[in-house]
Amino acid sequence: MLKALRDIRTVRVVVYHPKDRERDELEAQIRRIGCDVTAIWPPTESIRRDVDVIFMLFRQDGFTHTLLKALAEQNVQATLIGIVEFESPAVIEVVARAGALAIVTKPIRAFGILANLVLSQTILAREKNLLDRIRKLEEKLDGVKRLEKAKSILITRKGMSEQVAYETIRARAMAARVSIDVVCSTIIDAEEFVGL
Amino acid sequence: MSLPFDIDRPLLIGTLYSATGATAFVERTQLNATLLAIEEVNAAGGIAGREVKPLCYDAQSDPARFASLAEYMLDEDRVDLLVGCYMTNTRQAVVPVVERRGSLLSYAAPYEGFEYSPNVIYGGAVPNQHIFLLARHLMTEAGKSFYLVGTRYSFPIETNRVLMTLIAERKGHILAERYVPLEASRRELDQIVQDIRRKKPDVVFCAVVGTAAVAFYELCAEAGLTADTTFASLTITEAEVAAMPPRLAEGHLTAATYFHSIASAENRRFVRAYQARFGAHEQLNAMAETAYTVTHLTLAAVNRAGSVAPEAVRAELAQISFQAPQGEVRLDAENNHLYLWPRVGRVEEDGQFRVLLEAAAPVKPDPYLVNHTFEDWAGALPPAALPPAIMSPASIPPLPVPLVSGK
Repeated sequence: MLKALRDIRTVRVVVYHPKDRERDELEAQIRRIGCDVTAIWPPTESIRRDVDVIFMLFRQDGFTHTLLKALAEQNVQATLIGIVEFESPAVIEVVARAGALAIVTKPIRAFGILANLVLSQTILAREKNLLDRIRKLEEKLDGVKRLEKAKSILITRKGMSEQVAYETIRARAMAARVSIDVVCSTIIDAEEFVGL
Repeated sequence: MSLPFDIDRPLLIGTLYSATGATAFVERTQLNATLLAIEEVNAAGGIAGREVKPLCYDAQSDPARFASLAEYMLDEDRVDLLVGCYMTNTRQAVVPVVERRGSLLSYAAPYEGFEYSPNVIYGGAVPNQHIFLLARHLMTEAGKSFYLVGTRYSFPIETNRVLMTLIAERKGHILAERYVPLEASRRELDQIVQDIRRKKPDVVFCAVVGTAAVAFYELCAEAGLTADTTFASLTITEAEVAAMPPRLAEGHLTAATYFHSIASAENRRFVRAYQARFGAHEQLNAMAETAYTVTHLTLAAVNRAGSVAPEAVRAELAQISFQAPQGEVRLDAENNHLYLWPRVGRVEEDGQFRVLLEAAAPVKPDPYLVNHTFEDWAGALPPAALPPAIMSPASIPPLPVPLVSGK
């Protein structure tokens, strides 16, 4: 079963929306789905950290501004779902730039909330996964660059061939029980030190 | 519009059932039960002094016709509210119609869950209210290999999904999951029957609905499967058994909230009244009982509210309970579904279901439960004693209650 579906009842939700019947309906539906839900209004400058999903009303007013600023500054990891009452380009742009992964339109209905919760959680998980992979690839690429640099230092300083330079680094790493990258960094650091 | 409560004319109830088509033989009993409830309400003085009048058309087992009939009855006949629907796709066709008009539909059948409309009272069971009991019984008594066969629509697909998670939890296995169209031919069904014969499952779980269900059982019997394979279902009721040759379904297990054979005073009275009205040999079933119960509950709430506005009716429903043939039932105001009584019954020689297992207390509906586990179920039961009608369900502490077996 899809993880976001299976785990739906562990999801903690915060709703930023003024108290009214529509918010009551949204909260009731989230509770029917089986999630823990808290409604907050007016929004404060600090966003709760222990939250997986944030439903947030987008309006062209100070409350929305406060929330967006808080979200941006505090690097919140939660999934953002926008609640919108207009489909004007200005609103869509703000919603998209805020990083919302789904929207709920007003008037709010029960139908569609579950699907939006599951889809946005799935998209966020996929995004996190991709970012993770990118980070790992970047690290790997940096490692390759460092290896190249360390080899070229050995080649110019010691007159080694590329093959011998590599074998030297590898043997050193094996002997010291450290990674090749650590040996490369040591060589580069030493070169920079000597070069001073 | 249906909202103003006009005291000078009868209260009109639009019924949505099929007199023809693949599911007519079940929906006919739902219609009769709805009519019986309305007649009983009238005999008791009507709704705020008004007579209740049913309006009936043939929905022909066709979702599009359900929708257009709902529109016609609300707009042209000016009915005050709607009662009915059997298959999920017929309810789904009607829900937008009542939502747009701010009207009410009382839904008269169990279904697969994952719906909430403020304009619908869901009278039938959702999976957490009957599958557990059956799944546990099957895994301990019948065996661990399952063959799932159903009509291709949302109810069988979703109930099979739930069943598969429960079977996996108890280390059982699924040999196959097969679907047929509503109007399946004997040839299509026979291909599945031959496959069952080859795969030799311990249990065949049958979610084939309509007239195809009868043909499926006939073919299984011809293939000699019924002797040493357990057949189980949520949808084979007394209505399906009555449509089969005698003793064909003997030994079959069904999980439902109601059986004709329930030995309560309310049920004996219900059966007597129904047979007196529609024929001494008529059999009741869970769908008919659901239609009867949801009609009574809805009308009682309309009476108290003095209105057919969904919000007013819901508010009153949260305050009352009804002594239904299956046991006392009431609304769960959180989700517009009912607390109901899960049971497992086995078809006996005479075509009647004998109740093998029943919950000691009505089970809270959980229509949005995705991940069913046996552990969840133990804690999901409300207390054995129901509160007085005026007490709010929210104030009752939940207590796990063991099951009573044997009857």
